[in-house]
Amino acid sequence: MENMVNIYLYGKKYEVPSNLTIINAMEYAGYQLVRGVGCRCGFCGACATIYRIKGQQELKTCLACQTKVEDNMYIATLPFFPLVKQPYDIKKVKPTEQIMMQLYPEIYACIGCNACTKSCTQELNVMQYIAYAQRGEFEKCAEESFDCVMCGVCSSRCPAGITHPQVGLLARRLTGKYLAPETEHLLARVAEIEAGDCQAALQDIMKKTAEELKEMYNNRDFEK
Amino acid sequence: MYTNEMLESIKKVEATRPARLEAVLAGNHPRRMTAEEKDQVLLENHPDHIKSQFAELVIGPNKGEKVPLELAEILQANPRVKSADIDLTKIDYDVDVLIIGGGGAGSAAAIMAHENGANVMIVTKLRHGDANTMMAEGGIQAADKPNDSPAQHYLDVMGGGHFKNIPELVYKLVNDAPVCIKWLNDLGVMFDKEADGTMVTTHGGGT
Repeated sequence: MENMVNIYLYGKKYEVPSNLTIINAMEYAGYQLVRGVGCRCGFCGACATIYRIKGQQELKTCLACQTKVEDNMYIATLPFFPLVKQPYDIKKVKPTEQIMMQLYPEIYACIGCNACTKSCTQELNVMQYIAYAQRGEFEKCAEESFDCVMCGVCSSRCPAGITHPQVGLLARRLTGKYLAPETEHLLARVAEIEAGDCQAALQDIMKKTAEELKEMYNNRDFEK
Repeated sequence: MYTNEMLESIKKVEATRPARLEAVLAGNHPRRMTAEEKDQVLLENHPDHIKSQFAELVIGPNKGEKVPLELAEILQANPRVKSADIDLTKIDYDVDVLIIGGGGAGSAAAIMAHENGANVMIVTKLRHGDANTMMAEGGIQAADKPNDSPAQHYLDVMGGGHFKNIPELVYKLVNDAPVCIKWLNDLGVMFDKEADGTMVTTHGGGT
């Protein structure tokens, strides 16, 4: 028999094998999950979860698909959290300090408690990227927040009601559109395509038989 | 995090790593497998190539085609919704374009349709963006560099698709790809770039 542990799902006790993730343990216990689970690989951020080990002071947070069950784990999932997403037209906004003030003014109410950083399931320095956003340092905010999976746990812990993931996303969009360097080779290729300069070679290769293509493919050049 | 079996397996890889690293640093890259060798490995190991993993569809527009067992099960299952429960005299949402799925493709379609004046609705199981596009963060293919071309991209796609692809669709894919990268860039997607704006090229597994 496998090692079993006791866990509590929404307060109800279940005995589950100790080598399961929280998601798998919930399914083992009979839950059919329709929301609150997506990719099961720690990337989509749909399975944000809050738990506490009985007798311990600390409230912990995680993605349920990436965390193994522990004995006496009290678990509550967070399939949805009311984050604020302000609408904006990326073509009209500009990377100025005022834009954060207009769209997400609550970031200036940050009290510096660092609960966001402590709760981040991706171990990001969340409070730091909010500080960068406050100062209009969008490139730094974008880099610091880049690995965010938008699980929303940080926002659930924030006493100032900040929607950290959306602030980071806005900074990344501003960076991608306005601050990152222009890619000359991309513009050149798009111009070639629009002028029809790539047509002859394409029409030519489209006429090849599968056998001819196979020969070309198996002897193609590799970029190192 | 890792099980005991995985830890044992990791040890085996680690034991030979220094030797492999040394060989590569000395310029001795591992030999590429030939097309036949690759096919043999796939035949023996990959579920997509093991015949017993496939079923023939008995209904629908793809009737007669072989698909993985799980897909056949879904495609040929009874619908969850009972037709008797649907009352078409009461319409909850009336839109010009209904998009099923809120990942990269669905979102792009929604933006385009909306920009062209359509009233659009996306339906998606989880939150907007909890989708496969989020997981495919290793790269995106477009022939955007001087040492590359849409024609070369065409060859790569045909090879990757075992020369079964529909040429007109591949043409559309490779010819539009750089235009789409520019479109995404202009929408604020952050691509990995060098300081001078050159896109960072990475090589995916098996390419």
